[in-house]
Amino acid sequence: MTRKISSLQFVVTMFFMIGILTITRPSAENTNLLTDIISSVAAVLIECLIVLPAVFYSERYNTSDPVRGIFETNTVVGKILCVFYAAFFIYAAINSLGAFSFFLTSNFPELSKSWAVILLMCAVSLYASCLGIEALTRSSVFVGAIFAALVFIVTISVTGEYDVDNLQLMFPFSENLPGDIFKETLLKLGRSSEICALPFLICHVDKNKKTSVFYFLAVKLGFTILVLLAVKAVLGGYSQKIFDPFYTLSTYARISVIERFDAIYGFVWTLGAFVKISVLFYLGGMFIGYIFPGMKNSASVSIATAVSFAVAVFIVSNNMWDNAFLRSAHWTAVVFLGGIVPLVALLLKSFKTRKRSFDK
Amino acid sequence: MNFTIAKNIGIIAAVGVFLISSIYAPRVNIEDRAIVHAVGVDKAGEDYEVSLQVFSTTQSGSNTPIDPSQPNMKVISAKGKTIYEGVKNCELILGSDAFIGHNKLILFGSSLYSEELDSLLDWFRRENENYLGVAVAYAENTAKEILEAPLTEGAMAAENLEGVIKYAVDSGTTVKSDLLTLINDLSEEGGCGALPVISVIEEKNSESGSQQQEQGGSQSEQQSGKYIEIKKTAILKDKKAVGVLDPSQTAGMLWISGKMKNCTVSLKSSDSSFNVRLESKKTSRKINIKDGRVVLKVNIKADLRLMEDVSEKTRSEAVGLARERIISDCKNASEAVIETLKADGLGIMKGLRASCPGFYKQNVGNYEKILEHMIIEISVQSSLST
Amino acid sequence: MERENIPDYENYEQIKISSSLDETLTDIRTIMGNTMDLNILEIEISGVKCAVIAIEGMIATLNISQIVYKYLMGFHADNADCKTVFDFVTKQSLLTNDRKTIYTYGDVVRFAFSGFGIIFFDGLAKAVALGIQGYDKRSVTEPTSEVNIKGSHEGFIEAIRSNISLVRRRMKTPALRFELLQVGTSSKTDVCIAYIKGKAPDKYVDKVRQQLKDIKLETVLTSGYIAPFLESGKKRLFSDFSSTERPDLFCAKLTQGRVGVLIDGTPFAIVVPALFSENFISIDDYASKPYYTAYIKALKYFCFFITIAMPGIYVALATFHPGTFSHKLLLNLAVSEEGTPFPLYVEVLIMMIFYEIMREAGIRLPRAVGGAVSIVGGLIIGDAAVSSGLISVSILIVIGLTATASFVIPSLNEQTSVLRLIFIIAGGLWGLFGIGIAIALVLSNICASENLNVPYTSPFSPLKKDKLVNALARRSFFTLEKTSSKISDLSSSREE
Repeated sequence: MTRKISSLQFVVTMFFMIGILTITRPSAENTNLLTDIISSVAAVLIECLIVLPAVFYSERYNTSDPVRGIFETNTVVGKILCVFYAAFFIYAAINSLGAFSFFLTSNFPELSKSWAVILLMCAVSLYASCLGIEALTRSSVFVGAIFAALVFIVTISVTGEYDVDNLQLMFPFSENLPGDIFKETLLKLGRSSEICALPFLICHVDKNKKTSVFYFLAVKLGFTILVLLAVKAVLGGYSQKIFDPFYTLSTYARISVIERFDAIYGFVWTLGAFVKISVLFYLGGMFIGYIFPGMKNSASVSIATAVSFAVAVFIVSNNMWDNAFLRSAHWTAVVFLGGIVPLVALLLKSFKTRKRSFDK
Repeated sequence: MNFTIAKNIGIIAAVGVFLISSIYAPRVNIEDRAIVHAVGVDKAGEDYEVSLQVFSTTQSGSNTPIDPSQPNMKVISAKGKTIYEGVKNCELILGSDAFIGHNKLILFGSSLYSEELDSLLDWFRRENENYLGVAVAYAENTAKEILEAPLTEGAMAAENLEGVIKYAVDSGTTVKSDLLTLINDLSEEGGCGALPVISVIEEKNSESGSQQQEQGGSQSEQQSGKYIEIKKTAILKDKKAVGVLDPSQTAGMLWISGKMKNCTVSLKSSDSSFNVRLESKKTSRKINIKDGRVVLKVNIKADLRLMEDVSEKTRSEAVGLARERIISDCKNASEAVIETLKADGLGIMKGLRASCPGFYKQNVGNYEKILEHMIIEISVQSSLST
Repeated sequence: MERENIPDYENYEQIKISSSLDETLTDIRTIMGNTMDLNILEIEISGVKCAVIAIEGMIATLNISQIVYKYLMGFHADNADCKTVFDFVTKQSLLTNDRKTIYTYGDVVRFAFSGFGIIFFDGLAKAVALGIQGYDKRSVTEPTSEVNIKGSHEGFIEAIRSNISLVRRRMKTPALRFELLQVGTSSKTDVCIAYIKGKAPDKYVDKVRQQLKDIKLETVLTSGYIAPFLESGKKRLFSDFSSTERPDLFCAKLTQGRVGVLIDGTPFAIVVPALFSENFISIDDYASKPYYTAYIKALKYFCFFITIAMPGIYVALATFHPGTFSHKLLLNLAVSEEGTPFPLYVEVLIMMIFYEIMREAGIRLPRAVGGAVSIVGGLIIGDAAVSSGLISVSILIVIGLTATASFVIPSLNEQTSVLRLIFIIAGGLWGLFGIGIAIALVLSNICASENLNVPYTSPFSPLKKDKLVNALARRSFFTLEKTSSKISDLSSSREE
């Protein structure tokens, strides 16, 4: 039985998968606005190309995902791929858990200890991922509505603080603009772990798969640029010195009844992180389930959760979060898992189908 | 024992342990926080003297709201090697955590004019609770004196302080300077910026003591009234205060920067003196390079509103007088800021970077030279609104 | 010769009625253990030995004597035998509307306990059950739980047949179907499935029928006994079926293609599937202008949010994030909390528990004493607690607003009461992070509900724009003229 989700559910879930709330995290202090914008556009264009095989695959073979397709051809290769994917999604979950716990405990130290934050998040994400992809994606729509409300209120409430003079595209000046853009593009590509999840979520969409994917990419690009511009226009040069500029923008925003939005931002990011981590646990558990076919869904998801929890707590407790490897994946992983594997699956399946019809 | 029972017991035990451990998490109840309205910093020898103006509940008990007629603030001072240490020592005196999330003002005393603001603001920048939009200002004398001034009765101290600053900014008396703007300004080349300067004015009451007692006036009314005033603006260069502008120069600086909202000025025509309110409609700034010199063209459009009845002759002269006044203020400002203090209080370098990035890049580090040779052209169009 | 298969109270269902009247009567006495309310009247009709059994208090004595006895005793036929009398009773007379031929003791027991009079004929292995119910039942009154202003003031009662008639009166279409089942191994409670053919998909009806047949409970006394078996999954916070006391609302839901279940002995009918947004609908919506309905619905959604989350959010903000409050509000809160002995979240918990105690007492107390509850509640919770310094005024306001908001959506009372406490604990322990976790849990639980392929969170998620109007306001009648909305339109597409 294949679960089906709507186009909107897919787009919103994928949106939360991009860790949107850290998307404006500057990679280097000397990255100017022009570099950020161009690299964002370039990264999304490359992602458009990367996701094409997955889209074609899911349109043609409705009930199957690429790894399943490869499984049908060669079980050993299929299992190896499953190990890669499971490891990748667990790694992404660890990344997200660590980033979230780091953000929460550093900005709200009174709330809880890191291990407690990770434990709570793992517990609730485990529960949600055991309920299935439909429940997760439905939840994401509500979370998306809350997030959209926050973004709207924050950006509107700081309207009086926008300063066009702050939008200096070329400052800080770059010695090698094309080189910087290229480096940034690869970095952004590496942070786009959702591209690897896309082939396994798009197969659940009931209709308009191609449109859904491109809607998602358009929303991602549009939101990135909007936030870049808003943050830069209000915070100016200060936005390049801080870890999470949008959070800082939220602390700066105020309306008559709410003095600052930082706590509300933390609340919304809790929900966003919940959606992302739940989907990652679901996918990690799914691949563990492919490797061990007899295992129940809740058991495989629990394994993914347990591993993520243990490693995340270890990393955070030992203050290892500064390690760049732990912050984002390499772009090659994204290209391979998000593009090459679906392409291979598409070619293999097409070849097999053609051979079958030829034999007939 | 079967697996389900064991699992359920395990879950309940884990949840129980977790909940109990959470109960002991460090949290501060709202009534245990000292709500800080304003932070003042002065230099005391090698140390910093930090003064916190803290909200004080004089009406305790749970069924009465705050009574604004009662004094509702107290000032605690303590010294420390750093500002952070000073704050911590204040907390020791208070016996509670200082909550600066609602801090309205960061005030630096005159003893800190020659210290780099960057390092002074370090703790405020790093402290998560601190609001980025908090007002920053200099005190004409000591910060502690400003914070201790009992402001007009019948109002809550914090709101009054914030209100005074806001009013001064809105009426074109001083510049708006919040922490975020200041951090960005200080990170520009030259570390230039501007901060309001707050002074305390003491007015002696002339009523006799017996008369006041009959009227039941408060002790402070009988003796004297203290008010805070913001009329000056400090100019920063290399992250330190280098000079002070008077109101006319401040107004000029605001006009040139395009940050003037409105101001009230006194003009003198051929037959009378009268007050007008000038409202800025639009200010456009263009920076060009001409013969290797930076030319700043400022085009100001302002509306003029007469505040009193005047003769026809005065009315006909008003527009011209207003225009001249604005130009004169702008000239005063540019002379004071650029020529005398040699500071970039007008945001020239930032504008240059936006409009002529190539020229800027070639002249990085030479802002004083650029300012020395720059030309400012002011054109004003004012119209009388009925 | 000894008989095989002598029926008793545990083993009688499938045993056929004996053709010998004496044996039949003996069997019935054995099955029913000579219960004192069993009346057996042995009579002769046109020379044929017959017997009429009825349960005391279940039949209308006047009806049975005037319609049955008087009429039957007036029958005379030459050479009449049991078949002749049987034919007279079943084919040639108009004794009652409800007339069934029964063959087993199981049917005998069921019909007798449903208020039927049963006539046995010596020499025939069958009997006739005549519907002459006359048991005491409540008259149709206004529903107690779903009060409205402009709609009907009739509500269901305990007697299932009266309820069926209330529905039938409102839907005079032959497409409206009723199917009667018995649920409960001991109670054999009459349960009626109602649906409109052509609107409700057959698979919905089949599934409900199967679910009811699969119930193995001994007794079914209220709708609450059956409801869990009609739900989609266990451990759901919100029920994906709806329960109503109103025949008009019941009919409206049947028109949308849902399946209704009426249960004998309870005035609450169950309708499946249900949507979360239906908790915010009332029949008055269709008597008001659409803009007003939209406003009231927005208010209800807001009240739902307030009643669940406001105390928890208040505790979270005041304890962990006081910077979020506006300045004046924060100062007022600090002053009001100054003299109280407990931490804020303990105060809120205490007051919430006080409120729940008062609310429960108000429901359970006899009406005569009910007024005392409000006085005591007002004294304890209101004045005394604040004056004594036990709690602060601001908490009273929060609790009062929460309580009032909860009365706006009475159908969600159970959920809001429990969730409120969870949110308070979450907010008190982990601030807005805890609130976020609680919301995530609740949200995923709600979103996982899906009954008969219809997601509980529809039309919000999955988003159905054309159905959203109904959830947020109401469709105009002119639109309803042109298009009919069916619940199956909201079903999630799925490949089985």
